Amino acid sequence: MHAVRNIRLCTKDCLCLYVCPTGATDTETGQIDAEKCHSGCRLCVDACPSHAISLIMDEYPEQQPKTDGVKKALGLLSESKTEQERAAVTLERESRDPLEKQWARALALSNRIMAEDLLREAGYMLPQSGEALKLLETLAAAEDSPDFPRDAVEKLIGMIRHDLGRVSE
Amino acid sequence: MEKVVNSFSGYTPGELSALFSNLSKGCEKQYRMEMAGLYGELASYYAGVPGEESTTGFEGISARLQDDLDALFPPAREISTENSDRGALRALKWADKVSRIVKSQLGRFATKGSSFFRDTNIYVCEICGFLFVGDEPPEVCPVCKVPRIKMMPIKRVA
Ligand code: SF4
Ligand code: SF4
Ligand SMILES: [Fe+2]
Repeated sequence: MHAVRNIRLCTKDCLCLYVCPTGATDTETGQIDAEKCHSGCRLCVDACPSHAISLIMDEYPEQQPKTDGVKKALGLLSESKTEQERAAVTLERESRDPLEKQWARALALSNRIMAEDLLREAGYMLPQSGEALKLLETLAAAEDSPDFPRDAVEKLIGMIRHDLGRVSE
Repeated sequence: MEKVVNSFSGYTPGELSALFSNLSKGCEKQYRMEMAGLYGELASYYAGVPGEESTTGFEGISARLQDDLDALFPPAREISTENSDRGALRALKWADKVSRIVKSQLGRFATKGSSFFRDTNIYVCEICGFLFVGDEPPEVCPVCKVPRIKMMPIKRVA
């Protein structure tokens, strides 16, 4: 566990600076230094008058495995929602009427959010999960477009393997 | 409906974009900003990759949405119930409610055109996608119950 500070809630009363035994709360960036916050001792969490600090886990349990049937049924819906999103994005781009553009933007966004939620429940809830890793590895091996953000994908793969305690081969 | 996919992943480019933008938001919740940015790059990349684009126009969106309600939600609910997948049932419940609301708003748009929101605002709930047309969004989202600060106003750009 380590502490994180919600900067929007922090009123800079600075109590956390006095209580932290390692100086992790004292940074220039407003964020708590995860490298120094080894203990996750909660002293800052309890001291903060603004409830701006919470502890987060360094490792999360894997999401409940999803059956193929559920994945497929959710997948048909997320596919449909993203198709509707794309149709709305095209309408937004091609229309010259500000009202119609606004309407199309709202539709695009609503569909994107529904699709995100459905995909999350189809097995992609955690950014550092084995499922996410598998997908990234599949894409990295198969994509050959020059525009494919290969560096980003390789970095992500490295980060997730590190999180999962798997040494890269 | 035949699912045209980017066969090696099983997902269309549009879905991959949403999948990665969702993971990017997941990183932000854990304050992992570098990771959030990397997933964001992937989301933008796939947003630009052409897909099948078989749905076009407001009428096309409406028809597709009706098909979701008639043909896709009921079997999805059934199989999630069979598998006692509470997470999936929760997501389906929200998306079903939002879909019905959007469907009725699309109906208003089809008959009255944009005049029905000319003198008011549009908001979208960041958490569930709930679409609201009116001066002030409700205190809490009627679908997912988040407080109104999560209702994003959709700007009108001249
Ligand atoms: S104690 Fe809380 S409010 Fe005060 S500086 Fe620390 S985080 Fe901010
Ligand atoms: S949890 Fe403990 S070590 Fe970590 S920042 Fe807070 S007071 Fe410092
Ligand atoms: Fe909502």
